[in-house]
Amino acid sequence: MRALATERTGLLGRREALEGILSALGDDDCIVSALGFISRDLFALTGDRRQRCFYCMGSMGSVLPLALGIALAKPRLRIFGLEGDGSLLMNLGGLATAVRYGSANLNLIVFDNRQYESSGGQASQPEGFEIAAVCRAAGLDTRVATCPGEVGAALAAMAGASRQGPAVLVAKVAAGPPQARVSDPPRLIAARFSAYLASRPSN
Amino acid sequence: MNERGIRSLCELLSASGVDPLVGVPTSGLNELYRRFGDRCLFATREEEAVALATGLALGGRRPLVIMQQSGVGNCLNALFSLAGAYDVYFPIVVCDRGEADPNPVQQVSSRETARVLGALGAARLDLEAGGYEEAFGSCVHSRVRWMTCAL
Repeated sequence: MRALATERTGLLGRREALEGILSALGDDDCIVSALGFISRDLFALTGDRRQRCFYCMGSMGSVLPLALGIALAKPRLRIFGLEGDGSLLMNLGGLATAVRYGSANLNLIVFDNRQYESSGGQASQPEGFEIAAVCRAAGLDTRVATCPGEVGAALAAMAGASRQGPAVLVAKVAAGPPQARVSDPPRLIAARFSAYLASRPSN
Repeated sequence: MNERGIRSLCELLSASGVDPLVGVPTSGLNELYRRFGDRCLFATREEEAVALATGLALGGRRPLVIMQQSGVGNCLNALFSLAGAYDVYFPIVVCDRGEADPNPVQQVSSRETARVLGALGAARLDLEAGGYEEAFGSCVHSRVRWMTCAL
């Protein structure tokens, strides 16, 4: 195994990135978040919008297809999948499926810290491997953010862009300690989220 | 592949109100995919199909995941820790190539996966016999996740 990824400085904090995303989202927008620190941090920051968030606590690699399924069922809602780089690597085929079936209401935000931070910081990508380049090669409209201002600008550009397919934002984030574990039971999370989707038009 | 079995499966799923069908393409099921047309979504891996179906079901659609027995092992993590843990229901139909398949690795896959399907409590749909529509409806009504049929 390669050496553990070293802590890098000067990068966007995960919490800063999440706060930037949440402040850019509208009242109807829905979020699906990846297991581990991403769901934990999102849960801590979204006490006022629980019904519009689906916090995954397992199923690594499932955020993009899960978000795609929701986006297909609810084409008038904007769906944001919050994925980790390691988790995305577990299901890179999902990029092809998202390009194939996804529309402009599907948005993927990759928290790219180049490590499996939730499991102890093992390196997730070799030198020179870039998630954004992979997404672009798949044909996805892709942006990169390395500071809070770029997160907001990228999300505004994604909202305003005239496109047929999904969009991707790769947020280059630093490692950092997580918030407390998600304390809602999974069944409650799903029932609440599904009830919210049912309250919104399907076409 | 048993043509009569495939015809029965097409009739069963076409009549069952499934929308959409989600899965990785499986040899011998082109007639089924043709009938479903735009209501058929292809995933790159069975675990992805399970996550896609979970999102569709959360959004109020009635997906059904269909896979060959070789895909069962590929999907179990998403099935347990997403659809299962969050209690999102959709049926999964497993088409079993059978131990008599001309491909020797499918023979092993079929034999070993049969044990997994048994542990998962999969219901058997006998497409050769009559009454399978009733059996399928009864499984869906009681939220039986796994069904398997010989093809």
